[in-house]
Amino acid sequence: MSYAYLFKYIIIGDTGVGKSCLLLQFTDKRFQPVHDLTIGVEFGARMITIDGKQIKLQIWDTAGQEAFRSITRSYYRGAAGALLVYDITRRDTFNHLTTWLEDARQHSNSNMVIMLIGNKSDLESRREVKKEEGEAFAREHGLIFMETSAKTAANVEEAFINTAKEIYEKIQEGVFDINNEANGIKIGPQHSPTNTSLPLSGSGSSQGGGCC
Amino acid sequence: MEANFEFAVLTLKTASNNLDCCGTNGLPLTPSSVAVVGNCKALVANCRHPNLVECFDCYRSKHEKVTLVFEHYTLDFDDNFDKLIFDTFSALHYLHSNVYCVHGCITPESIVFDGLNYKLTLWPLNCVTENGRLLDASSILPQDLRFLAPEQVFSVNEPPLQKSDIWSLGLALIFLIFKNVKIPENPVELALCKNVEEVISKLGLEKLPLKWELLVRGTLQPRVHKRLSAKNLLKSLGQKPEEFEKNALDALITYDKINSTDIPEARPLRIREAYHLWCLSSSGYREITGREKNYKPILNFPSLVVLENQNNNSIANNDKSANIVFIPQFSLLPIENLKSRLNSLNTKIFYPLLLTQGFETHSRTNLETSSLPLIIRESDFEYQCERIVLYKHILEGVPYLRQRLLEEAKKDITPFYRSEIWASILNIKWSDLIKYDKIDKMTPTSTDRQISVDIPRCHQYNDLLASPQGHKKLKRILKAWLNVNEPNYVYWQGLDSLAAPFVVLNFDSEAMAFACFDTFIKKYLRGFFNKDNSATIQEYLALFSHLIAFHDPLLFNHLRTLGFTPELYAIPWFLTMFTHVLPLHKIVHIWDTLLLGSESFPLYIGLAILMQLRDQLLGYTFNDCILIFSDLPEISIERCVKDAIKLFCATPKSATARGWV
Repeated sequence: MSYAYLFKYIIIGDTGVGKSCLLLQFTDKRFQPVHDLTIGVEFGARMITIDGKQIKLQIWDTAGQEAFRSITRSYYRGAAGALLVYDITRRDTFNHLTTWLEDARQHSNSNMVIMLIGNKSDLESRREVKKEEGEAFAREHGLIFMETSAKTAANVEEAFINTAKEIYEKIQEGVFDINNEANGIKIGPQHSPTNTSLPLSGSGSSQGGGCC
Repeated sequence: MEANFEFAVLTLKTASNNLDCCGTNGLPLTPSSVAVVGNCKALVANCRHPNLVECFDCYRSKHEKVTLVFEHYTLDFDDNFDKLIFDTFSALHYLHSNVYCVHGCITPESIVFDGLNYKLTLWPLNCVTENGRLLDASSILPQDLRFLAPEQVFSVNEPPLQKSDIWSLGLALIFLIFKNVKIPENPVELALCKNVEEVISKLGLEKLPLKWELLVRGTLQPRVHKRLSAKNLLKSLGQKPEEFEKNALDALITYDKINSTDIPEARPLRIREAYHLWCLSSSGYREITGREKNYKPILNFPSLVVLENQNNNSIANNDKSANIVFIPQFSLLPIENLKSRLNSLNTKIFYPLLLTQGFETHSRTNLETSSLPLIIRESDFEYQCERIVLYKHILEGVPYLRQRLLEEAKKDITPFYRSEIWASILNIKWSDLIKYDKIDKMTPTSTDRQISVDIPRCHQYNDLLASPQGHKKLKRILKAWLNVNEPNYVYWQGLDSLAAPFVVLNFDSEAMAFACFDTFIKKYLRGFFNKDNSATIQEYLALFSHLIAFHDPLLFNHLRTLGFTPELYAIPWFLTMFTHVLPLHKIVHIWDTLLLGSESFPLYIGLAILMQLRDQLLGYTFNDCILIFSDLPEISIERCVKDAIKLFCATPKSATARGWV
């Protein structure tokens, strides 16, 4: 299917916070109470529409366990958006956010849009992290914030789409250089003349090198 | 072949839990039927004692039903009462002091005779159902209540005691030996007796010869503490009970001694092997046996007289809190077909000559079968019969026959002896098994939380791994492994999947599962579980890239141009030796060959997988590539293994030699 832009996302956060479940809910609209653990990285993709434009999200779902850090670091490269997930029923996953954020900032490009997500909002009775704490952390570090539930699907669409909107706005503002793939944005086939088999004269020069 | 055995099946309806309901960890509750299957394979399946019937299968069917399959005999007893008493109490002694389980429902019906030995049957019921709890019952009782011990009559909600078995067995034996003794229909009558004298007069057992009097006075004591244990009863009758050793080395030796009682018979097939072959000869049998028999409720109604002024715990007192399940009638599987097929086989295959060259016993038809696809070979009755017998003899001759074992394993590995064959290939020794007992698996560590999050996600489609027994075993094995290997190695997610095949295959022997797991990692995954394993992973993936380029430059260039590097898909393959990306029934077939190869061989399996997807990959973009590997498409394992061997033989060994980091 044709698309205007492709955004690379990365989902990060402690193990067991529901990263893969969020992805599954977003791509397949279903919930699996027992999800396989992730080793290395797994992928998902979905098309969304923003401002009348088709945007393809390519989502990299990473392993959460500490031991995998050195492997997952290499996956940050070229991500336009990141979902940093913690579990509202487990304080320790919230406490580790700073380390995750440092990691993300250090290994990705500076313009990457980061969305902070407090997942498992359906488990209100077991909540250990107040919503206000999440909001405060997001404010302090310049992140967007949302509480979601991969189980009930509450806010899941919004989390992925709002991140994309933010990236899209940055493109409009010219913050992102869309021709540099290291920013995690790729121009869709019909927009990128170099991808067509017949080169069109006149428009190729500025966008050359944007693909492959 | 002369054979008097039968296979009996008994179907239980287990408690159904509300599937929407979650446990304290937020995960769905394990169905009781899964727990029963786990208990059966973990606690009961490995009990081999000449005086206990073997229970060799336990499977689930629709509507939360569980079926147990066990050996059965319909021979009349001979009148060797001394042996009857010795055999049955030896069985109880073994159950109580070695299996730590209580029969709880002994009646004359629960003793069978195989022509040589007397055996207790129905003994696993209380054990596998956790005293009825998994059937949503407070107790599980025989249809014939006359043999219940007094404490079972009065406190029906309490689990039966070892001493309850003593009473029931004593009474059942009296019933079998003295045909004219009348046992009261209502168990309360005997239960109300104040002492053994009253019991004796009620049963009219006065003036017995000394031997029988000892039996009666040792067992039919209304007061629990006055009854003898099985061991002391055997001693009082002048017998020498077996000694069960608590320490592992002695236990192994004892175990062999018990097994050796079977040898004089030199049966061509063990009963378990016969059952496995029966399954092959009767496909679809589970549907037949899973059907519930409808018994008229009136026949299940206990023959009891309600007495007044009893404890409110008593069955005599229509207490609602006492939810009793009566043991359903078992039925016999049709085995005529199996017997006639076994009889039609060439008897030579039952006695393979392993040590004499030139006397190969392969039958002509099996030579043809050996070139058929693996799936067909694994379900071919005749072929499997030959393989099972052959492997049994080879395994008995290992390590002397190790070379022969490896040669046969190259052809295929019979599923029936897979666990033993794998252990032999990995060179597990009895000394490795003993070590396991001494490893601390209990002390809490900082990794526990991670392990407990991962285990409920590990191959849960498999009943054994989904059962509470499976979770416990996996946890203990992982903790033991960390205990032995820390601080060099740390816990990595994926270790759980890696342990899974060994846990499933050795569900009745945790020590064996551990020894295989530990040895396997040392051989194939050196360095992978270091705290910082990046050098190891990078080297391994570099070798893999190298190998792709060597064998398929076109594919290699295509993937490289896309930027689709092995880091994006092959880490879970190699870190878990494919256990994270494939279901168990495929993993075992890959590992059957992988175990025979060098530590580089897994690279060739990875390459063979790529080769099967080659045509698709060549036409794919980066996006297509990453998605296809997130959910590995159907691949033919048999072809993959064959290709891997071919690729391995066509590559210089130096190209994939590890160990430079």
